[in-house]
Amino acid sequence: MDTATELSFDGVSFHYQRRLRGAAAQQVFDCFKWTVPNGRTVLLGPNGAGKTTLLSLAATVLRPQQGAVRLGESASDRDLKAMRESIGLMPQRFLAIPGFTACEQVAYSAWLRGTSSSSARGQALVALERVGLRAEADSLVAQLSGGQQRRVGLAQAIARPARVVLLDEPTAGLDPAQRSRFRELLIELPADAQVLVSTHQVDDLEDLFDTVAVLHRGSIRFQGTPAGFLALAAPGSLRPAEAAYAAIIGDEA
Amino acid sequence: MMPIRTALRIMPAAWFVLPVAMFAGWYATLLHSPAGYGTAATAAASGTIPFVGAFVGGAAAWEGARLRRSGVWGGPWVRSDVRIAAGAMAGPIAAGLLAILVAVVVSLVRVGAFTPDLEIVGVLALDIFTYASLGFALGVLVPSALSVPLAVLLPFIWLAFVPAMYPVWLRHLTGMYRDCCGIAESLAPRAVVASVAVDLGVVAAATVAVRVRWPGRRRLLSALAVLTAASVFGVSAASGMTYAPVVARDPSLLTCSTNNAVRICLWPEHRDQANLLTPAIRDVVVSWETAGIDSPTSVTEAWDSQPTGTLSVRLPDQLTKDGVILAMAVGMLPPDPNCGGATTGGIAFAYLEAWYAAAGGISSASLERLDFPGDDVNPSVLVAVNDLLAAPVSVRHSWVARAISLSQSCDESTAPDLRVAR
Repeated sequence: MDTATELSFDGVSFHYQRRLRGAAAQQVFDCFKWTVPNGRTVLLGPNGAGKTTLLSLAATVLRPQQGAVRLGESASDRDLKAMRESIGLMPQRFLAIPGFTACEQVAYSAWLRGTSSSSARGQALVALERVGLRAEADSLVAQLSGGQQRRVGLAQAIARPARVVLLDEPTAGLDPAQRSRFRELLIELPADAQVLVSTHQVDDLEDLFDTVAVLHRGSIRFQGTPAGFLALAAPGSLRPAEAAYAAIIGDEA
Repeated sequence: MMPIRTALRIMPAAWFVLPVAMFAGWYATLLHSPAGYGTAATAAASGTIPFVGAFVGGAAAWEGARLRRSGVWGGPWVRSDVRIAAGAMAGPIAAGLLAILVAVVVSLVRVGAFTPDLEIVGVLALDIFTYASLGFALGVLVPSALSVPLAVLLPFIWLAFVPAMYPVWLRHLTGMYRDCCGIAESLAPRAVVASVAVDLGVVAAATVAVRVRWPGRRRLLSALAVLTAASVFGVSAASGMTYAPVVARDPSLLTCSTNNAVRICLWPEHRDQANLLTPAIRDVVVSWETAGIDSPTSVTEAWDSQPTGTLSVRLPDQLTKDGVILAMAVGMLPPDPNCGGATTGGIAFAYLEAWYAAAGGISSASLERLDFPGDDVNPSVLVAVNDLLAAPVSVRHSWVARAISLSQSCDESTAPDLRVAR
């Protein structure tokens, strides 16, 4: 991949606004710098580590108070439109558009991301085919199962060709068969797209991802290959991924 | 953008547009306007705005709520907020415009007019856009259980109650021009400026309010500031107007002709009836001359100040000979004395009207409709008129002079004497 397309965080500081007078602002990132590796990257970290915030900043859902998120020549403090055209996001929480069918929801999402009205439906049908929901294209999203809705969310993220695909807890709520299907989908994503997946699932890391990154308390505590990550586990560990993770986070989690 | 098929399936605006349009059309048949006058008919149709505005507001709130609940609004999209909002509001706006269009067409057809007033149509379209913006903003900001009822009620309250409030010019802020226009009037530009200012203020405030990336306090203060500024501007434009948002119609639209030394000027709506009106008006003038009444040399439908010797008339919708005579008789009456209340001399207006009508040649049946019994001092109207017809011209002159004098008196206690001297 051309390094000019890399997603990076350049001195990003971000805190959530105080909801109550007198409450302290919650600082999530302070001058955070990270260049997301090319290929498929899994982002691990305990609850509250800032994974969702990081993906939201990358997708420009949130804006840094300082610094910028960059994607090639574009940056979140300028060229917002160019960045958004290049990023597909599957948010942690899927929200159905009341009254829409699966096809309408994916097509509308594609339109929101810049696809023309005339092309949106076609792109939506292709995306639904890829996530195995072609038969449910005309079903109301609200009537689909939780797992099917997650797949509609994934279809939204991939309906329009993207240089960066951000998936926030994509397998949460999926049954084992659906998770397996998701893994296949992940592998099928275009090789030239940067894929950043936030998850708690640490199965099959070596098969699915090129890079493992561990985020904790606003900084990347580990970044390396899955093999390097698993090597951190104590020899003989029955669950090496969890052991490696614990070795990085230690008692801080 | 939402495909039309989807919109028709899921949008309340699409579900309810036909009944609302039919209701607007029916309601437009209840609103009065002069025959043939497109401006007045279009203005009358604006009386349907309370219902249509409430419908549009509620439907737009529903669409705003749809975007709110699905997390679309404020999301990281390539499409601008304006495009997204326009897509959501297009259905309610189209439905509102259709309903208003039906009301305007019905109103025009009902009075035999064919040309709508495009300025009023423009303001009505802006009204629709305003209520859509207001509803959409409420839908985006407030849970739908609250936003939809609010978006229905707010336009209705604004349009139904403000026109009933004092000072009377407050109604001109609403963009509803039911009191426009008589045939000699056109819509007052100040009323248009006032309502457009308020509309634009509401749209701007709604636009600011839905900028969810701004801090809530900043949005609230900005929206209030914009709305206040627009309201002040609107109030300054409408302040001091009467209840009717009208000005005198452009007199250059009058068509004038001279018939037997009487110059007669008619509005375009009566041009086709000139063959009936011109001889009828001329006959009245001749009859008045014969009866010794100081007759006008010119008769015009314009109401603004006219030179001496010119009679301003308000012709009725049904153009009959008696109707023309009555209109001219009313035109001969002196102005109201502006006493601030009822006066005993006010009774003289009825006697004078009946006298001018009788002298102008009104039929006895129509004259009888002007009659009412006399009192301890005065004879009935019919008796007085018959006495005048039998009296010499000098008596008529002195009676008319006395009646006019009495009509201008602000006396509230002394019974006037309108008996005809024998």
